[in-house]
Amino acid sequence: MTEFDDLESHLREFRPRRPAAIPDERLQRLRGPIWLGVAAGMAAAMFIALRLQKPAPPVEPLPAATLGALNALADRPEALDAELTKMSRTTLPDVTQPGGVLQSLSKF
Amino acid sequence: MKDDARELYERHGRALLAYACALLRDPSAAEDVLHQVFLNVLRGKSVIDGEPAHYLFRAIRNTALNHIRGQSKEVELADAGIWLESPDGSTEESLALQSALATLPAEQREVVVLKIWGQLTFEEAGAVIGVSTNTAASRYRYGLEKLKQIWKCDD
Repeated sequence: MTEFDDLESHLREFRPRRPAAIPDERLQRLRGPIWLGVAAGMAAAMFIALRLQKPAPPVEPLPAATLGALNALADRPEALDAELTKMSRTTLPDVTQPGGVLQSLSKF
Repeated sequence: MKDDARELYERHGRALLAYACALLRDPSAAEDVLHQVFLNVLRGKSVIDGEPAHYLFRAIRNTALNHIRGQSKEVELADAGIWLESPDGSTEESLALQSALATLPAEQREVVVLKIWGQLTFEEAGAVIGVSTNTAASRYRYGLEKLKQIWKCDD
Protein backbone atom coordinates (compact mmCIF):
# COMPACT_ATOMS: atom_id res chain seq x y z
CA MET A 1 0.00 0.00 0.00
CA THR A 2 3.09 2.23 -0.17
CA GLU A 3 1.99 3.70 -3.50
CA PHE A 4 -0.69 5.58 -1.59
CA ASP A 5 1.42 6.72 1.35
CA ASP A 6 1.79 10.28 0.10
CA LEU A 7 -1.87 10.55 -0.77
CA GLU A 8 -2.93 9.12 2.58
CA SER A 9 -0.75 11.48 4.55
CA HIS A 10 -1.98 14.38 2.43
CA LEU A 11 -5.57 13.37 3.08
CA ARG A 12 -4.92 13.07 6.80
CA GLU A 13 -3.80 16.69 6.84
CA PHE A 14 -7.41 17.58 6.24
CA ARG A 15 -9.42 17.52 9.41
CA PRO A 16 -13.14 16.89 9.63
CA ARG A 17 -14.82 19.91 11.08
CA ARG A 18 -16.01 19.87 14.64
CA PRO A 19 -19.73 19.19 14.88
CA ALA A 20 -21.98 21.54 16.78
CA ALA A 21 -22.71 20.62 20.38
CA ILE A 22 -25.40 18.03 20.99
CA PRO A 23 -28.69 19.86 21.42
CA ASP A 24 -29.60 20.18 25.07
CA GLU A 25 -31.38 16.99 25.99
CA ARG A 26 -33.75 18.76 28.35
CA LEU A 27 -34.74 21.18 25.60
CA GLN A 28 -35.33 18.27 23.26
CA ARG A 29 -37.55 16.67 25.86
CA LEU A 30 -39.36 19.92 26.47
CA ARG A 31 -39.97 20.54 22.80
CA GLY A 32 -43.15 18.46 22.79
CA PRO A 33 -44.66 19.93 25.97
CA ILE A 34 -43.71 23.45 24.84
CA TRP A 35 -45.70 23.03 21.65
CA LEU A 36 -48.56 21.52 23.58
CA GLY A 37 -48.48 24.50 25.95
CA VAL A 38 -48.46 26.96 23.06
CA ALA A 39 -51.39 25.19 21.40
CA ALA A 40 -53.33 25.07 24.67
CA GLY A 41 -52.62 28.79 25.25
CA MET A 42 -53.86 29.68 21.78
CA ALA A 43 -56.99 27.61 22.27
CA ALA A 44 -57.64 29.29 25.64
CA ALA A 45 -57.13 32.76 24.12
CA MET A 46 -59.56 31.98 21.31
CA PHE A 47 -62.10 30.62 23.81
CA ILE A 48 -61.86 33.74 25.98
CA ALA A 49 -62.09 36.02 22.96
CA LEU A 50 -65.21 34.22 21.81
CA ARG A 51 -66.76 34.42 25.27
CA LEU A 52 -66.03 38.16 25.55
CA GLN A 53 -67.44 38.89 22.15
CA LYS A 54 -70.86 40.63 22.33
CA PRO A 55 -73.62 38.41 21.11
CA ALA A 56 -74.80 39.37 17.66
CA PRO A 57 -78.15 41.19 17.61
CA PRO A 58 -80.98 38.88 16.77
CA VAL A 59 -81.69 38.82 13.11
CA GLU A 60 -85.23 39.75 12.28
CA PRO A 61 -86.77 37.33 9.91
CA LEU A 62 -87.18 38.70 6.43
CA PRO A 63 -90.74 39.61 5.59
CA ALA A 64 -92.12 37.25 3.08
CA ALA A 65 -91.90 38.99 -0.27
CA THR A 66 -94.27 37.37 -2.59
CA LEU A 67 -95.15 38.37 -6.09
CA GLY A 68 -98.78 38.43 -5.03
CA ALA A 69 -98.11 40.90 -2.23
CA LEU A 70 -96.21 43.21 -4.58
CA ASN A 71 -98.92 42.89 -7.21
CA ALA A 72 -101.42 44.05 -4.64
CA LEU A 73 -99.40 47.24 -4.24
CA ALA A 74 -99.02 47.82 -7.97
CA ASP A 75 -101.72 50.47 -8.08
CA ARG A 76 -100.16 52.33 -5.09
CA PRO A 77 -96.69 53.49 -6.22
CA GLU A 78 -95.74 55.05 -2.85
CA ALA A 79 -96.64 51.89 -0.96
CA LEU A 80 -94.82 49.73 -3.52
CA ASP A 81 -91.76 51.97 -3.32
CA ALA A 82 -91.82 51.84 0.49
CA GLU A 83 -92.14 48.07 0.45
CA LEU A 84 -89.25 47.68 -2.01
CA THR A 85 -87.08 50.03 0.07
CA LYS A 86 -87.86 48.03 3.20
CA MET A 87 -86.94 44.82 1.42
CA SER A 88 -83.72 46.23 -0.01
CA ARG A 89 -82.61 47.38 3.47
CA THR A 90 -82.72 43.84 4.70
CA THR A 91 -81.06 42.31 1.67
CA LEU A 92 -78.54 44.91 0.44
CA PRO A 93 -75.63 46.54 2.32
CA ASP A 94 -76.63 49.79 4.01
CA VAL A 95 -74.35 52.59 2.77
CA THR A 96 -75.78 54.97 5.38
CA GLN A 97 -74.97 52.80 8.40
CA PRO A 98 -72.69 54.84 10.72
CA GLY A 99 -69.13 53.52 10.91
CA GLY A 100 -69.73 51.12 8.07
CA VAL A 101 -67.12 50.42 5.42
CA LEU A 102 -69.49 51.39 2.63
CA GLN A 103 -70.21 54.72 4.29
CA SER A 104 -66.47 55.43 4.57
CA LEU A 105 -65.89 54.48 0.96
CA SER A 106 -68.83 56.58 -0.21
CA LYS A 107 -66.97 59.69 0.98
CA PHE A 108 -64.16 59.22 -1.55
CA MET B 1 -23.46 7.41 31.08
CA LYS B 2 -24.08 10.99 29.98
CA ASP B 3 -20.49 11.92 30.67
CA ASP B 4 -19.34 8.85 28.77
CA ALA B 5 -21.49 9.81 25.79
CA ARG B 6 -20.24 13.38 25.84
CA GLU B 7 -16.67 12.17 26.03
CA LEU B 8 -17.28 9.90 23.06
CA TYR B 9 -18.78 12.84 21.22
CA GLU B 10 -15.68 14.90 21.92
CA ARG B 11 -13.37 12.11 20.87
CA HIS B 12 -15.15 10.76 17.80
CA GLY B 13 -17.50 13.57 16.80
CA ARG B 14 -15.35 14.87 13.96
CA ALA B 15 -14.77 11.46 12.38
CA LEU B 16 -18.40 10.47 12.80
CA LEU B 17 -19.54 13.69 11.21
CA ALA B 18 -17.13 13.13 8.31
CA TYR B 19 -18.54 9.64 7.86
CA ALA B 20 -22.11 10.93 7.89
CA CYS B 21 -21.12 13.61 5.37
CA ALA B 22 -19.56 10.96 3.13
CA LEU B 23 -22.82 9.04 3.20
CA LEU B 24 -25.24 11.93 2.92
CA ARG B 25 -23.13 14.59 1.18
CA ASP B 26 -25.10 17.16 3.10
CA PRO B 27 -23.31 18.50 6.20
CA SER B 28 -26.48 19.83 7.73
CA ALA B 29 -28.33 16.52 7.43
CA ALA B 30 -25.16 14.74 8.55
CA GLU B 31 -25.05 16.78 11.74
CA ASP B 32 -28.71 15.99 12.39
CA VAL B 33 -27.94 12.30 12.02
CA LEU B 34 -24.98 12.59 14.38
CA HIS B 35 -27.11 14.36 16.99
CA GLN B 36 -29.88 11.83 16.62
CA VAL B 37 -27.46 8.97 17.29
CA PHE B 38 -26.06 10.64 20.40
CA LEU B 39 -29.45 11.74 21.71
CA ASN B 40 -30.61 8.14 21.44
CA VAL B 41 -27.59 7.10 23.49
CA LEU B 42 -28.14 9.85 26.06
CA ARG B 43 -31.82 8.93 26.42
CA GLY B 44 -30.97 5.28 26.83
CA LYS B 45 -32.83 4.32 23.65
CA SER B 46 -29.62 2.86 22.26
CA VAL B 47 -27.17 0.84 24.27
CA ILE B 48 -23.59 0.77 23.14
CA ASP B 49 -22.34 -2.77 22.86
CA GLY B 50 -18.78 -3.66 22.01
CA GLU B 51 -16.23 -1.10 21.01
CA PRO B 52 -17.97 2.30 21.26
CA ALA B 53 -16.37 3.78 18.12
CA HIS B 54 -17.40 0.81 15.99
CA TYR B 55 -20.90 0.89 17.41
CA LEU B 56 -21.17 4.63 16.70
CA PHE B 57 -19.96 4.30 13.11
CA ARG B 58 -22.53 1.55 12.56
CA ALA B 59 -25.27 3.65 14.16
CA ILE B 60 -24.33 6.62 11.97
CA ARG B 61 -24.49 4.39 8.90
CA ASN B 62 -27.91 2.95 9.77
CA THR B 63 -29.38 6.32 10.67
CA ALA B 64 -27.95 7.96 7.54
CA LEU B 65 -29.31 5.18 5.33
CA ASN B 66 -32.72 5.54 6.96
CA HIS B 67 -32.51 9.26 6.31
CA ILE B 68 -31.73 8.64 2.64
CA ARG B 69 -34.62 6.18 2.37
CA GLY B 70 -36.94 8.74 3.88
CA GLN B 71 -36.00 11.35 1.32
CA SER B 72 -37.81 11.89 -1.92
CA LYS B 73 -35.98 10.20 -4.76
CA GLU B 74 -36.28 13.34 -6.81
CA VAL B 75 -34.29 15.34 -4.28
CA GLU B 76 -30.71 15.66 -5.42
CA LEU B 77 -28.12 15.24 -2.74
CA ALA B 78 -26.14 18.44 -2.75
CA ASP B 79 -22.77 19.31 -1.33
CA ALA B 80 -23.42 22.29 0.85
CA GLY B 81 -20.78 23.59 3.19
CA ILE B 82 -17.37 22.45 4.25
CA TRP B 83 -16.93 19.37 6.34
CA LEU B 84 -13.22 18.80 5.76
CA GLU B 85 -10.94 21.60 6.84
CA SER B 86 -7.74 22.00 4.86
CA PRO B 87 -4.50 22.41 6.83
CA ASP B 88 -4.05 26.00 5.64
CA GLY B 89 -7.71 26.87 6.00
CA SER B 90 -8.22 27.18 2.26
CA THR B 91 -11.85 26.87 1.29
CA GLU B 92 -10.92 26.03 -2.30
CA GLU B 93 -8.78 23.07 -1.23
CA SER B 94 -11.51 21.78 1.05
CA LEU B 95 -14.11 22.02 -1.66
CA ALA B 96 -11.76 20.42 -4.19
CA LEU B 97 -11.22 17.42 -1.94
CA GLN B 98 -14.90 17.17 -1.09
CA SER B 99 -15.90 17.24 -4.74
CA ALA B 100 -13.19 14.69 -5.56
CA LEU B 101 -14.58 12.44 -2.84
CA ALA B 102 -18.07 13.00 -4.17
CA THR B 103 -17.07 11.49 -7.52
CA LEU B 104 -16.21 8.18 -5.85
CA PRO B 105 -18.85 5.49 -5.70
CA ALA B 106 -20.51 5.60 -2.27
CA GLU B 107 -19.10 2.24 -1.18
CA GLN B 108 -15.54 3.38 -1.94
CA ARG B 109 -16.05 6.79 -0.41
CA GLU B 110 -17.26 5.41 2.91
CA VAL B 111 -14.29 3.05 3.27
CA VAL B 112 -11.87 5.87 2.48
CA VAL B 113 -13.46 8.05 5.14
CA LEU B 114 -13.59 5.26 7.71
CA LYS B 115 -9.93 4.43 7.11
CA ILE B 116 -8.45 7.91 6.76
CA TRP B 117 -10.48 9.97 9.23
CA GLY B 118 -12.13 7.24 11.28
CA GLN B 119 -8.75 5.52 11.67
CA LEU B 120 -10.35 2.11 11.44
CA THR B 121 -8.58 -0.96 10.18
CA PHE B 122 -9.94 -2.75 7.12
CA GLU B 123 -11.35 -5.40 9.40
CA GLU B 124 -13.13 -2.80 11.52
CA ALA B 125 -14.35 -0.86 8.48
CA GLY B 126 -15.61 -4.10 6.96
CA ALA B 127 -17.50 -4.87 10.18
CA VAL B 128 -19.13 -1.44 10.17
CA ILE B 129 -20.23 -1.76 6.55
CA GLY B 130 -21.00 -5.45 6.70
CA VAL B 131 -18.45 -6.69 4.17
CA SER B 132 -15.32 -8.80 4.40
CA THR B 133 -11.93 -7.35 5.21
CA ASN B 134 -10.74 -8.05 1.66
CA THR B 135 -13.72 -6.27 0.14
CA ALA B 136 -13.15 -3.25 2.35
CA ALA B 137 -9.47 -3.21 1.38
CA SER B 138 -10.15 -3.46 -2.32
CA ARG B 139 -12.82 -0.75 -2.20
CA TYR B 140 -10.31 1.44 -0.42
CA ARG B 141 -7.62 0.77 -3.01
CA TYR B 142 -9.94 1.53 -5.92
CA GLY B 143 -11.15 4.63 -4.14
CA LEU B 144 -7.66 5.96 -3.55
CA GLU B 145 -6.61 5.21 -7.14
CA LYS B 146 -9.50 7.22 -8.45
CA LEU B 147 -8.93 9.97 -5.94
CA LYS B 148 -5.28 10.19 -6.96
CA GLN B 149 -6.20 10.63 -10.62
CA ILE B 150 -8.86 13.21 -9.90
CA TRP B 151 -6.72 15.16 -7.52
CA LYS B 152 -3.82 15.20 -9.98
CA CYS B 153 -6.14 16.78 -12.51
CA ASP B 154 -7.37 19.28 -9.95
CA ASP B 155 -3.87 20.27 -8.85
